[in-house]
Amino acid sequence: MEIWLQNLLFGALVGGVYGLAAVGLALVFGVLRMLNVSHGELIMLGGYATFWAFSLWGVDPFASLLITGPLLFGVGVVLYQALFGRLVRIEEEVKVQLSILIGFGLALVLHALAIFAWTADERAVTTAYAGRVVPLGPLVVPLTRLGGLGVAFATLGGLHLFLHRTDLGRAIRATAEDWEAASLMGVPVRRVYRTAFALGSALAGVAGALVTVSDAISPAIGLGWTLKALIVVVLAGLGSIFGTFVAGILLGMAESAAAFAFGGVFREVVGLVLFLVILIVRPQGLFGRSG
Amino acid sequence: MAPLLEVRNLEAAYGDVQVLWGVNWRVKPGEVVAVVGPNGAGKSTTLRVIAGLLRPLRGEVWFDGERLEGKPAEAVVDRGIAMVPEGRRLFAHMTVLENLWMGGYAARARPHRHRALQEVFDLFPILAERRHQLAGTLSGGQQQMLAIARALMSRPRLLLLDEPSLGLAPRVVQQVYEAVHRIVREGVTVVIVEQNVFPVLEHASRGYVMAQGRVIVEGSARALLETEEVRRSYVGS
Repeated sequence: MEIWLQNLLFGALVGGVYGLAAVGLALVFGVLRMLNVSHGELIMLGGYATFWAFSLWGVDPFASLLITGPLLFGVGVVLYQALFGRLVRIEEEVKVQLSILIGFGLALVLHALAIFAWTADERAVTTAYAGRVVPLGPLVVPLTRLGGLGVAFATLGGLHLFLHRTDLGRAIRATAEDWEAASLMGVPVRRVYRTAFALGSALAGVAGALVTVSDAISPAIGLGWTLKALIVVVLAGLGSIFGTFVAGILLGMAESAAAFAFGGVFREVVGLVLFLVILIVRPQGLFGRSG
Repeated sequence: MAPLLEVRNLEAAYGDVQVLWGVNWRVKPGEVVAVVGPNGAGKSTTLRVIAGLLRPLRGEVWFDGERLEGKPAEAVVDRGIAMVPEGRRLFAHMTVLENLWMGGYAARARPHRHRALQEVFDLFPILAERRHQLAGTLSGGQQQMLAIARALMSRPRLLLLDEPSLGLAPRVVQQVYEAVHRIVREGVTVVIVEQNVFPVLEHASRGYVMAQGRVIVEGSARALLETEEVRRSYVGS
């Protein structure tokens, strides 16, 4: 029993970062109607920024998200201007498809560039507090993972406040609902698109830092993260930041449980099974709003 | 008097299909101008060109001495033209208050948002009551009022209304037009597009009848009610 609880707890902690990764993807999709399948590669870049900041200057990986967030925001602006921004006026269905093509190409390029720059080796940061645990009754809570969950939650809370309490945030939400109506209000829609894309990338940067706190990274981790983020977005449905966060935690727990019950290979299988089941049973997702 | 809005020989198309074939409108300050005509006449398209949602093929849009055609919508609203689009197009998942706040997003409106909010709440007290409700949960009439109020938040000099009575009960239509009268009294010039001739021509001072991308008749609202074209379209509808 206890070992089950311990596994679920561990999965929940890991899942918080899934939620953060997914919100970035969902933000871009919700506002621009583009699926950035290179989101995982942006997480990978955030991870390397964290790794090098730690290795070269001894920056604490939790503190490094103050670097990786703005850094990836800038990367997002560049990618939007150079690539994704060219699709904005294309009819919606074609736009999604083209964005996926661009994303795949970009993922391959970033993957290759990362190998070229940093080799294909795994890299990890080892902090003084790595491996430390906090007791919780009969269970133990790994400190770095607890911190990751907390930072993910705080980041999403900040995003929520930004989207609801500021003019720019409300303009992003309004544009997501009806860009034409938003432009009638005076919203510069293209600039809002760019900001939303960059914000989604910044969230990937923060997620990359949190990944690197607890796990080794390599140039190849991107695709796996894109997949996890996609599964969580489908699981949660669009429209709710905290719904997406909860769905991330659920995926983390499901993975942990499946790996414990049936063996490690099932960790990856369970997400895809959930993905299909949700698409069949509740296509709007657990917390999504229909229409 | 010099016109506040003048549309000259406007031609526009959706893709390869041309829908406007030389539209001419002149709207003087303080007027309520009705534009009626059957579906596909080009009424809404003309509004979309004026509001900056559609680039015309040819022709000019003059507003208060400045050429506006081809300027993007976010620039047009900053000149003082607000449009209430067909179907209202509210932000359904945002609250009444958030919708109104978005209406005051334009630079010309932003510094005055608190006062503008008071004014639209005076005009539509029901919106003040429902301010924390999601826009999508309002009744049809309330949604139309919110759409008009949202447009007024930009403090326009010219208000363009596209089918404001669409899908509303006659009693609610009456309320909407009463509000329009109060808006006009505040000094706003109004252009109303309607497919149905009756409520709008009773409230307008002047009107245009459009068909197949052109103005076919124009005149005072009273005179238009007598013309063969209007009577025919009324009987036909």
